[in-house]
Amino acid sequence: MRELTDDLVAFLDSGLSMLAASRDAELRPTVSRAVAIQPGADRGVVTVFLSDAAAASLLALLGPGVPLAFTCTHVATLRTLQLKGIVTRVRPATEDERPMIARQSGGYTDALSVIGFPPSVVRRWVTWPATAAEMRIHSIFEQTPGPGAGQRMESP
Amino acid sequence: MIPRLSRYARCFQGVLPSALATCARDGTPNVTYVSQVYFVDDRHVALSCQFFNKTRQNLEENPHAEVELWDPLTFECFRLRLRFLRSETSGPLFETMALRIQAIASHSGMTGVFKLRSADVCEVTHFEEITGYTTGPAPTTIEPEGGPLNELRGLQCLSARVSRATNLDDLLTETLVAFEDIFGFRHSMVLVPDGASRLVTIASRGYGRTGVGAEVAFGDGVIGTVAQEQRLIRVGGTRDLAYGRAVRDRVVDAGGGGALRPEIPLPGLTDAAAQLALPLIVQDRLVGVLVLESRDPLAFDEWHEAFLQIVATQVAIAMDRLAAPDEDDDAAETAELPAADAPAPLRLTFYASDDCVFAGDEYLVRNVPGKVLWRLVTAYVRDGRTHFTNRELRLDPWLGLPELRDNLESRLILLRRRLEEKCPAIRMVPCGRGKFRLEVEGRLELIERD
Repeated sequence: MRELTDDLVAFLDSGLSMLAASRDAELRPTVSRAVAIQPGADRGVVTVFLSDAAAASLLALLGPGVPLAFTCTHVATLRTLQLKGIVTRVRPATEDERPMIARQSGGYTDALSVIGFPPSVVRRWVTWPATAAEMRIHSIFEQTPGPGAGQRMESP
Repeated sequence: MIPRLSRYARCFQGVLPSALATCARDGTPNVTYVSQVYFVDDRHVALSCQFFNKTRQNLEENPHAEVELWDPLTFECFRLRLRFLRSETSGPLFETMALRIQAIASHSGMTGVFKLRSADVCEVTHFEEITGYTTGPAPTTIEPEGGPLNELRGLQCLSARVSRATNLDDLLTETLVAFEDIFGFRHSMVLVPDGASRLVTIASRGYGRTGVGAEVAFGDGVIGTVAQEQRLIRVGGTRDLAYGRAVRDRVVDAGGGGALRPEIPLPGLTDAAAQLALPLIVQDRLVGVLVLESRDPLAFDEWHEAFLQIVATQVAIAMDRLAAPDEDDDAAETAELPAADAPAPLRLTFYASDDCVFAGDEYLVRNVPGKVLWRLVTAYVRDGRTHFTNRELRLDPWLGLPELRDNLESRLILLRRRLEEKCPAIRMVPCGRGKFRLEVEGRLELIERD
């Protein structure tokens, strides 16, 4: 499956914990927490948002043609998804996108608060300024913990 | 330069899952959550492998990995570059990590469905504290005042209380009070073996009265696993148990739910965020399990593990000492029973098929404590007896107590507390070493059923 379904689009907007990773020329991986994701009008494209400060080493690797992995999980249920693809464009996030980033990252910190982490602690997380990495999806994987974790999702 | 990883112990407790990136031989990255990055020593960590997955495959193809950890108290972020060295499938590291997984699996009713396949040991080749990840002043993280010296004084106080106890009931009560007074652990319980296959709670603090009598089968959940393996387990409950439930749901979704057992409700806090369960052992023999719970996910750390094992040993030795039979004179006093026409008799029903006693329509107690109660009330109603000795109970073949280490004192404590909680009209009042008096308000009606 290379395109997001309606269910997956809704899931991506539900206040998730998000991670992104790529690798350098020696195949050494680099990981960072992502701050937001936005599906494109083309369901085969997503834009992953990364904090400039926290994801500096990952951002240094990203550019057109570079592989990117993105994993997101729902804090309460641990439903987890991984998208893999190729970066098509890297650009600064715009002011128009800032409220969306605040909403999604806030959804994650709110979820952490529900399970006992003090809001004053988790809201210390810096999510702006951010950079947008647009990615063409090559595959989508089910990653919820359990025996099916890692299976490629097929088209419905 | 890599700092001493032990300084970052909080990040390795699994309170917040960590992020792990690997890369396949063909250059495709993979990123996933790991419930715990296990601290091995100041240059090594271990990753738990429960399922043969992409991460594991990538590590075999390409040893490079990177993990991101978060401090659960400050949300500060640390990134470690790793080089995969080896997979361990036996030995102390594997056993320790496997025990934790086993407890989570068992608690979720999935013993045998998921288990630790390997402890994947990695060398830490680079350490980075991510600047700019958080803003504003870090919350103050106060270490315990005085550290070990303070704990040592606490140990002195607890030892004094333990040594003063003259019976098992006092010992358990004093110990749990001391945990709160001295160490601030407000939720605690002690379970003792009841037969060869299960534990029963005989003392608790911080749960109201409902904890006493709760049963856990050996091997079930965190507590049952501690009893079975006779090894300490510390879990950060919220995330660990969420992980277990997520796996369980996936198994059910995949059509494999038929073999799963119902999820076991833990005795104790329903919203516990941390739990520490310690086996109480004397000469390789389990005499009980001590359980401490907290709503603070960081309530227990490595220091508590080491320290509380010393405490647990003291408590275990004292329990064993006080559980030894008391030899005393028989004293069979009798009482005048209430007139048969006294109003509203209390109906007790004994079900012989499972040695279970009901008071009215409510379950009261079962197994050996149930048979003891039936023996007492029968003697009371039939002969008017009110005074009993532990010795005569030990010698009563109908109770079926083993000749050695019969655990009678623990069973009597359980019975006494169940009566206090569920049937206050009947009381067992200690009246000397190994002796007690049965006090009954009103008239009893006894019914025996198969």
